[in-house]
Amino acid sequence: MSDLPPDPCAAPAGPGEADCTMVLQQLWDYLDSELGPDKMQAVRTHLTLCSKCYPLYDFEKAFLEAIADCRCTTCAPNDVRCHVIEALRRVGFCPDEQAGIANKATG
Amino acid sequence: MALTPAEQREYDSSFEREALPWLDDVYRFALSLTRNEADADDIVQETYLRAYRSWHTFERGSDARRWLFTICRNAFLRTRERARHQVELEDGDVEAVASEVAENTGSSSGDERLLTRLDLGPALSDALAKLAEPFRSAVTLVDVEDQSYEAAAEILGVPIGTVRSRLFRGRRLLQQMLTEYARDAGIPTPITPVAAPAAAPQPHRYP
Repeated sequence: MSDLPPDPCAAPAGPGEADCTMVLQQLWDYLDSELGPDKMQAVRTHLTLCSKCYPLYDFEKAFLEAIADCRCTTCAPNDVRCHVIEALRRVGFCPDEQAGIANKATG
Repeated sequence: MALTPAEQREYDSSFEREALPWLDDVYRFALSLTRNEADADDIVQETYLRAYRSWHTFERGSDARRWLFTICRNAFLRTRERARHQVELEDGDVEAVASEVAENTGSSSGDERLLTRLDLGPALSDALAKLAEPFRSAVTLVDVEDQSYEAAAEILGVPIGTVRSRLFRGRRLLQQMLTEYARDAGIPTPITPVAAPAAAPQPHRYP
């Protein structure tokens, strides 16, 4: 264990370093890539070393990935596609028969 | 000014190429707003009709999906009494949620196992459908549709801080609902982050 770096939670964060409280407050911003480059790097470094924060990060990451998977499970029913194309045709829209994007609905 | 036949063909063709492929995404967002398939159907039609009529105003090369989401949101608002569906949050909420996260520090190895054990797909879809507005639209835009905070703020017509606040609160509410789901399924482990154990784990490097 002696070759491992010190746990950053064991000592106050130095200049430019992130402590646990800061990391946990900014965890979702970090996961959403909404922090500036310096803060992203500070949080990333802390998570690499901290045995307390990493499991929480891992959990929240898995949680957000699970929500994102909902994207694959809900698509517009074919009826909705047909209704949209029919409504557009009524106001003059003329789909490209070659491209066939609009015709996917009726095909 | 009327378009020439060639211009009209290009107008329709570009609309078909750039706007129609996002129909699934617009439908998901509409469904998150209405929570009702028939209403979502109406909103999607209205969205595409408005988009088609305004297609000449769309800035080529910009984000068509974001543009459609904005139209969809506006179409929804026109069909609903806005006040009935909005829960206003104070600006301080985001700090309160951040504090809540900070308090819930510690190991969640049990939660990771729970995520593996639960079939989260149906549970999450169900929980997301039950999530109240305005949290649901924020979570749908950012977490499902992968919009930035800034894009979600523009689509929803609110400041970025409000999006964060709604998003973070919405995620916490979803986790609470999944905890209840787990309890109903007979799984005792809480799904939300738990308090730190008395004995901290030994420090080690994570991948």
